[in-house]
Amino acid sequence: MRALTPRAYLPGLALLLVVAIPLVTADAVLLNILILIFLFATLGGAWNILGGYGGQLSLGHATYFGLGAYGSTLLLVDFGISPWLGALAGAAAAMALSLVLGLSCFRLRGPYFAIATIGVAEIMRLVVIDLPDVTQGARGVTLPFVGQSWALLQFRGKTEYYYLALGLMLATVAATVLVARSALGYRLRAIGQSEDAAGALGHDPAWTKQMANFVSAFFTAIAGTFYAQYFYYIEPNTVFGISLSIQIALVAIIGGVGTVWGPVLGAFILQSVAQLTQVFLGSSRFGGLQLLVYGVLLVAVILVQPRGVIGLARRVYGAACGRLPRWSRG
Amino acid sequence: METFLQAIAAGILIGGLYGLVSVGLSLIFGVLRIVNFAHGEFVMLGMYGAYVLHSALGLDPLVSLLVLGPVFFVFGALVQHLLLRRVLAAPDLAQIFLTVGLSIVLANAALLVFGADYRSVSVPYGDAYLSVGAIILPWTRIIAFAGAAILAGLLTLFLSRTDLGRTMRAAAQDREVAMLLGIDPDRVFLVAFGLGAALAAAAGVLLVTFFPVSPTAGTQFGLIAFVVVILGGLGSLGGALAAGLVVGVVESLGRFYLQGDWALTLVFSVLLLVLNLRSGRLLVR
Amino acid sequence: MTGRKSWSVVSGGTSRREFIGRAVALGLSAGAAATLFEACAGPSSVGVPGGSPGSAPSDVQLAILYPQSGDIARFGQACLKAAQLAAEDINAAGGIRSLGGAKLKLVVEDITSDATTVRTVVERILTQNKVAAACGSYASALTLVATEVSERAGIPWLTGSIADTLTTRNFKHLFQVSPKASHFGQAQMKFFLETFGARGVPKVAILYENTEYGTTTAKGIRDAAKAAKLEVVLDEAYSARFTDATPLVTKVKNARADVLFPVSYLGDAILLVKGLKQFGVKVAVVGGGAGYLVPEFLQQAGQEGAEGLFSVASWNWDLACKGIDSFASRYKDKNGEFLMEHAGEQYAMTWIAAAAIDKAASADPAKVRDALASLSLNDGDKGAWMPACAIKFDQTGWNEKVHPVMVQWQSGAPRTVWPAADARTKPKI
Repeated sequence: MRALTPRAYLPGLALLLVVAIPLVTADAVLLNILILIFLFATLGGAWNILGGYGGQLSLGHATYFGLGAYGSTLLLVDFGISPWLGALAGAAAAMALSLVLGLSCFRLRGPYFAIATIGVAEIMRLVVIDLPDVTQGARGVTLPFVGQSWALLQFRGKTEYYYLALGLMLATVAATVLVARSALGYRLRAIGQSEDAAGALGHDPAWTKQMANFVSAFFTAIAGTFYAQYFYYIEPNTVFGISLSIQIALVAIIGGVGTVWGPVLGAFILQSVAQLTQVFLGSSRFGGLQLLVYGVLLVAVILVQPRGVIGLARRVYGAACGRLPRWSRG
Repeated sequence: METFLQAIAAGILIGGLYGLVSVGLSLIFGVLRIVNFAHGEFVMLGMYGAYVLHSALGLDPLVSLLVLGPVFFVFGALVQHLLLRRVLAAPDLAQIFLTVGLSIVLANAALLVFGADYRSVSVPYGDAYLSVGAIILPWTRIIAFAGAAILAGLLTLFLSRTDLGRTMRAAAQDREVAMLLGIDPDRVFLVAFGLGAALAAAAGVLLVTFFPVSPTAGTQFGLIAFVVVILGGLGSLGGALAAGLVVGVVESLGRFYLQGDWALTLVFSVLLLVLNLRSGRLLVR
Repeated sequence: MTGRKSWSVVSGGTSRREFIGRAVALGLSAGAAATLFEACAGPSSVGVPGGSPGSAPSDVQLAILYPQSGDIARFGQACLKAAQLAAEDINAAGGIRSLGGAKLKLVVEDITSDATTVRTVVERILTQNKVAAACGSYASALTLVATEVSERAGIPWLTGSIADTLTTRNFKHLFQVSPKASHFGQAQMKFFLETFGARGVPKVAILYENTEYGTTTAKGIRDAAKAAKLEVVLDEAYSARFTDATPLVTKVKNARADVLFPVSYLGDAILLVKGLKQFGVKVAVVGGGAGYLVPEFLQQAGQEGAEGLFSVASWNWDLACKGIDSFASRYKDKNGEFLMEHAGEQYAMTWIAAAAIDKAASADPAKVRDALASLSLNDGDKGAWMPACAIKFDQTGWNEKVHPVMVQWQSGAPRTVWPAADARTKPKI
């Protein structure tokens, strides 16, 4: 006897809904909001792999984002290389940097690792600004729009971007699941309990964390390429900025660090805040209010529910499932 | 040669302020064992405080220091009591992101209240300078340095001569033993954080005569304070003051001899280098 | 059917967790609702003007998109005031004649001084409002981003920004009324050589803020210096937010430059000029516009500090064009300060947009775009208030008639001194 419970059919319905939205509406503003949610869910999810599961709290993840964005964009603008390839190049650069960072800094205690990541991101930002012959410096790089093209990853409408962003987010979620439930995830949890004991089991804790670091850097850089291809303009203070690094971490922490769906929830919450503030205040002050609420949310989460909102969300979800209809055969 | 001396002199003057900001950060770490990611924002708030008192009442920043110092001490104590107290025994994530969240709240509250435009405080001696040979030293910076030196001196006296100060040093050295000796940790933490915040805000007040005020003005001071404190040794106040001067001079030499922002890149590279070299004290194990 | 849990009413003591759970659920729903509301509140398609065919719209909308906050807010605010004055004047003169006297209405939004916010804001404004055209955004960096959006949306965009790259993108909807950044450099050099004559080979120093405006203007200066076979002894980019001019001033002093071409926004301009004075550096200063042309420059540098300083400009309030005096003096009376460079251009652009809408006899952005492309204004026409007193856009969208002018601070105001045809005052050496 099989029962079609809400817990079984709700996720399917949700996926169907999300996939169907662009087919039902061409509303540019709504699609843009969802694309941003998917983008930040990807970024938060990638951060979460290193921070939530790997236990290394980075405040400099924008470095990988910027490397992805600048890597693919400069290759495109200077050499005409397709962003699909450029994305891989950017991701490779990000992973290489993550190796350097891991080798030198993983043994640092929490706050000092965080400070080191800030230092790395700031250096990248400043170097990009101060090498204008290579990177166009503080002027930023504009991507030329040549028309609808899958090869060049450029589209007139939002639909293609929507599905790409959705796909990227789902890939990050899948990667998180893989990391969490694999031997790698088991080893990471062991390290979380006691790094020495984990080492005694025969696996090198540093290398285990580095694997998580690679995955994290990879997805963050790919998101950077997407950003460049969607916004058509990148500049160092945004893509390498400490503000972005903090927002990336916020998505995971507010949503639920160390969980699979936490970052997705976090991205949804933060974008909702962003839209609410835009509705109620003009652009000139909304940036301040939006970020202020982010800060308040972060402090509130840390004090009340450090594991993130996902726990409460699960309870609400569970309660909702209890009230929705279910069918059984037989 | 003149350029070299000018760079050194400028570096020392600003280095004094870096030292003042960092001493507060080092004190907070030494006693509470917390890295305060919102430290730069206390500097920024001090700047706005001085700006407000100056535009509303025409107070010279040095005078408003007498008011703002205690105000920010109380503010810091409140932050400690309401927020930080709850995460003193919590894991890294909570400690780091609580002060990160606080820094976001403070910077954006300032943005909402004052707007993003740069403000400045003009004092009558704002353009005056002292010539020593071919070296030009603006009086505003000299006075700020002197102010920082005096405050550092007062802090040293407090820590070495008063009971409360000695208590704090004891708590910093060994918390358990201090508690066994009957020292109330809560009170010590309150004072330590309040003092750290007040010192950072005081630096902001001193800076305001020659540094433009904006909600993001504190960020770079916060970052530089990290460099200074790690260079000088966490918890070492003398180290923070000395390292402040060193970082000030290094940055200044960078600005005079290098192009663009390579000076800052240099400073952050020093940070990474020191983190790697000194990781002995900062290791997980 | 398996039973449903009853939604038990908890009397008294709702646990904190449950309360927070409900608050979160409420918050999420509110957020979702707001998101959907915001999305649904605007029209779902882009730029097509409303009204049934054949009926004249009662208001024609023009978007005015400048930074009203952040470090360059000052300039954006002045541009907005100029646009508002122009709209009043246009409506007082009868509005858009060919549309039955339809009034010009401004759609205004703060795009902030940050290039990434610009894109989201501009996109929101252009998709949620039916505008015939748009104007903005002062800083070339911001305009570059904004016009990516407007080009894709098919909205014609008028700008006074100067970057050469604005018109190299093959855009059909961009109209630049001002001289190009590279021309500034040539003009500065030409003026300098003509005015100061050949007193040996002067040593040139170039200092520029490192974003679009500074970099492209500096390139123009650099190329012109090379063409004139002058020695460039200092050529350095700086971050406009520096707080201490001493290092830069020392570099100028050590390089023993005869003439300095600084390209700065306001804060850096003030610090540089003051620093040069403090250090007693004897150097001729030919400013690169922007910060050297605003009223605050006079306030902060002081009348003696500013007196005699030259700067290149794309517009000035005392150009020798018919009709300028009227609005320049009215702006001054209304706002208490002289009409600044970009603000004056915005006044002109508002009239130019109105002229195009009038010519097209329609508020349809595509028709307005065509009207702009074929528009020709001459001295005496309303809107012909750029140097050379004529407007004609070439195929790339650039106003091919325009050229930069040189101004000099004399007695507390910047006065046009070169070329002679545009000037009413002589330069004082």
